[in-house]
Amino acid sequence: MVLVTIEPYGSRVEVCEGSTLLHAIRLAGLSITSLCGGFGSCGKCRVIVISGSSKLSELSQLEVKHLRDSEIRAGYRLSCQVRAFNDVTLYIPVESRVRVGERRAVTRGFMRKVEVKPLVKKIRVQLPPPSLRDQRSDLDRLIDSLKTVVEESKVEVDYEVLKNLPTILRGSNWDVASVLWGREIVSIEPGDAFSESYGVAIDVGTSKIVVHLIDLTTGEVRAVGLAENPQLAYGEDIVSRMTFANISEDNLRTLQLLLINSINELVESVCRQAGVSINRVYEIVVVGNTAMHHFLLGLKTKYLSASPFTPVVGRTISFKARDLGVKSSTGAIVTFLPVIAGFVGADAVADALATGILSREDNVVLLDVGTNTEIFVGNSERMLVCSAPSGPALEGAHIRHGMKAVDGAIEEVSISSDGEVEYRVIGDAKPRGICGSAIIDIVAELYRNNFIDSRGKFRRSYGLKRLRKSVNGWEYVIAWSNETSIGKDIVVSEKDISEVMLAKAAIYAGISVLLRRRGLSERDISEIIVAGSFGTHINPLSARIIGIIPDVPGDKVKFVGNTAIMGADMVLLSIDARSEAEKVARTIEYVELSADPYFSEEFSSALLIPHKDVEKFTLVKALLNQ
Amino acid sequence: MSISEAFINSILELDERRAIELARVRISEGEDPLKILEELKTAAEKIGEKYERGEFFIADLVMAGEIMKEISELVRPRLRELGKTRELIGRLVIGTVEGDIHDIGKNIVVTMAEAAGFEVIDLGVDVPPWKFVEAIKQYKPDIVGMSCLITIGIESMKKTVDAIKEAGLRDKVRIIIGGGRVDEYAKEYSGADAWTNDAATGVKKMMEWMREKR
Repeated sequence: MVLVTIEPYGSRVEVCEGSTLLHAIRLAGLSITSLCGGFGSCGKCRVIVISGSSKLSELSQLEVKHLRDSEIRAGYRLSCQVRAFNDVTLYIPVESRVRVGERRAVTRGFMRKVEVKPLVKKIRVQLPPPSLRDQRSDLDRLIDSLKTVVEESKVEVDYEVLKNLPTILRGSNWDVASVLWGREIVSIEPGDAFSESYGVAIDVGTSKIVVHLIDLTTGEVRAVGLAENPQLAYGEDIVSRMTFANISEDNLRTLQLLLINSINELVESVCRQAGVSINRVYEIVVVGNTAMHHFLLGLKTKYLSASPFTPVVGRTISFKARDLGVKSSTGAIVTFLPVIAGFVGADAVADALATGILSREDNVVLLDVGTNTEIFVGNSERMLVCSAPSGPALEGAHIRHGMKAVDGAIEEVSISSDGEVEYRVIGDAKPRGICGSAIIDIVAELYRNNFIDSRGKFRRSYGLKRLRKSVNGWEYVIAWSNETSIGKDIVVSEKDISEVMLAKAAIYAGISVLLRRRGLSERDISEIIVAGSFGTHINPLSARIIGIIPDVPGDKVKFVGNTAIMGADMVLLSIDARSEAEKVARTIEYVELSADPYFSEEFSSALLIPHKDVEKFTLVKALLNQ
Repeated sequence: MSISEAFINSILELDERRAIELARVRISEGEDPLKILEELKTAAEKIGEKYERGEFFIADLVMAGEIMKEISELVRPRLRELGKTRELIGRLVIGTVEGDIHDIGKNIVVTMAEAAGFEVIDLGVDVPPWKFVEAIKQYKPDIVGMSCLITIGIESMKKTVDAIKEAGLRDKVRIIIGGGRVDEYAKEYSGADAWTNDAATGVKKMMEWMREKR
C-alpha cells in the first residue's frame, strides 16, 4: 500500500501500489473535475505533485497533449493518468476543484394548475371491535370500512402492513387511518395521523438531484432538497458513466448505491426541514434522463449506451420503495415515470407534462438544454421530440476556461464597441472561469460588435487591445490575470467559439428537422419554452443573436425553470396527470436525428452566426443594425 | 489573383456563395472540370494544414466539407457530359462502426478523401461487421476506414476486423480507424493498420498507402 496525501485538504488515503491518483482522490471522498471519467481525454483532473514525484508513472502521451511544458515543469499531472508506486503528496489546484460554493441550481419551475386528487388517499375510520357475533378477520373488518372508497374484491394489502395490522388496530382503539395507493393498503396508522399525507418528488439529473416534499392534502411543496449527483466522480457525462457501468455488475451497483444513498440523505433532510416523519411519506415519484433512470433501478445500461439505444423499460413502473432501499414509510411505493427513448427520458416527459404542451392548439417549441438537448415541436394534434447532440460546451466543458455555473464563474458578459469587457461573477469571488451563459454572451457580443465574422473568426485587422495570438491561436481576453483567482488571463479562443458553434448548430438543426417533419416553418412557432436550469440563466437575446433558437420576438421566449421536478410533483398530486404522463410517452413521436436525411445539411447550415439563411433572422438583423 | 486562386481562397475563407458562384462561372465558360476538381484537392490539403496549425476547427471542417461537396456535385455532371473520368487514386469503404451513430468526423473524411481523388463508398452509421465484409467483397476497396466517437465503438472495431479476417479478406485491405477516442492502444487491440484523431492526418496516411501500393 502507498499513502497519498491530498492538499489543501490534508486528507490521507491508502491505496494499492499502482493506483491512479484519481482513484485515491475518489477514495478520500474528495471531488475533482473529471469530465471524461478518467480516460485522459478531457484534461481537467489536473493536480500538482508536491512530493514523491520520482515514484510516479512517467508522463503519458495524453498528459503531454493536455499539459503545457511550463505546467509540466511546475509539477502538473493528470490525476487519471498518473499511478503512484510510493507515498506521494499532491495538491488539487483551484481550477480542478468541483465544490467551491454551491452549484447554482434551479429547484423549481413552472407548473400548470392541477386539481389536487392524488392516487394516495388517507382515510380515517372507526371500526367496530370484534365480538362473538362479529368474528370477521381484522383485514376484512378494515376493508369493509373502506367500501365507499374502493371496491372490496379489488383491495390488496401490503405484507408488512398486514403483519402490523392486529397491533395497530387494537393499540389505537379501532380508530385508524388507512392509506390507500390506488386499491392497495400501503399503511395503517392510529386515526389521529389522518391528516398527514406526503409524497416525495425526485429529479435525478446528470449533475444534480432535486427533491420536493409534497403535502398530498394541500398540494403544497413543503421542503426542497438539492445535492450534487455523487456519480460525478465517475464522469461528468452520461456516456462516461455508462462505460464504467458496462464493465461489471459491481460498477453498476456502485453507481446505483451512490444515487440511493444521496436520495436517502435528501429525503431525510426535506422531512427534517418540514418537521414531517419519514413514515408519513407514501409515494416517491422519480424522473430523470434514461441513463439515471436505469442507474437508479440498477438496470443494465449496455444496450442503452450504443445504437440503437434500447432502454430496458419504457413504461411507468411502480413497486415497493423498500425493495430499492429508499427510505419512506414501510409500504410506500416508488414510481418511475415513463421514458420515451434512450436519450429522451422521464425528465422530458415531466417537462412536457408540467408545461402542458400536449394540450396546446398553437405550435410550440420546448427545449431542455444539456449535453443532449431534448426538443419538442408541435401541438395537441401531433408532437415530435428529438435529442440533439449539443455536447457539453454550453455547460463549460471543451472550453479552455469553461466551468460550471458555480462560485467564481463569470456568468454574464457585455462588450462595448471599443472592445472593453464588463462581466458579472457568481458569488462573492474573483473569476476563475466562464460558464455557459457567459460563453453565449461573449460570442453574441463579439458578433454584435463585428469583432468576429459569421464563421466565428476574429477580424484581426481591428487592433483590439484584448485580441491576441497565442500558442493556442487567436483569443480574446475576458478578464486580465490580476482580476482573476487563477493568476492567468481568462480568455475565449477561436476554438472555444467553434465549440459553441457546434453546440448551437446541433440544437438549431434539431429544431429545424422537427419543424420540417411537421410541415412547419420558424414563422409558425407561437412560443419557445426553455426548460432546465441552464435555460434560466441565459440571455435570450444572446441566444437569438448566435442562433441557438429561432428568431422570434423576445416576448415569445418563455423560461420555465426546472419543469422536470414539477412534472413529478404533478403526478404525485393528480391521478389525471399520472395517466397523462403515460399518454405523453405513448403519443409523442420520437425522431432519431442520426437517421434523419436532413440533419447533417441543417447542421452545417446552422454553423454560421446566426444561420446560413439570414432571412430566418430578420428581427435580430434589424436589432443589430440599430 | 487568378480565378483559380480566388476559387481556392473562397473555399479557405469558407465563403460558400462565392465559391459556388466561381465554380458555376468556370463551368459555364467551358473550363475543364478536372482542373476544378484538382483545385478542390489543393483546397482540401490547405484546409488540413490550417486544421493542423490550429487555425481551423471541427466546425470549419464541416462547413468546408459542405462547400466542397456542393462544388463536386456541380462539377460531376459536367464531367460525365464530356465523357471524362477523373483518375482515381484508390477506393475507400468507410463507415461508423456498430453501436455508434456519430458521423461528423466520418463525413469530413469522406469529403476530404473524395477531394484527394479517392472513390469513397460510405456505408453510413451503426454499420455491423458483416456489412463491412459484404462491401469489401462487392467493391474490392484498397482501404477500409472505421470511425467511432464512443469508447464502446472500439470493441466494434475489433469485431469488424475479426470478421474481415474470418472472411479471408484481411490481406486484401489496409484498415484505418479514426475518432476522438482511438489511439495506438485501440489500433493494437482492434488489429487495424493505422489510427488517427483527425481527418486531415487520416487522409494523408491513406494517400501514403496508395503511393506505396503503386
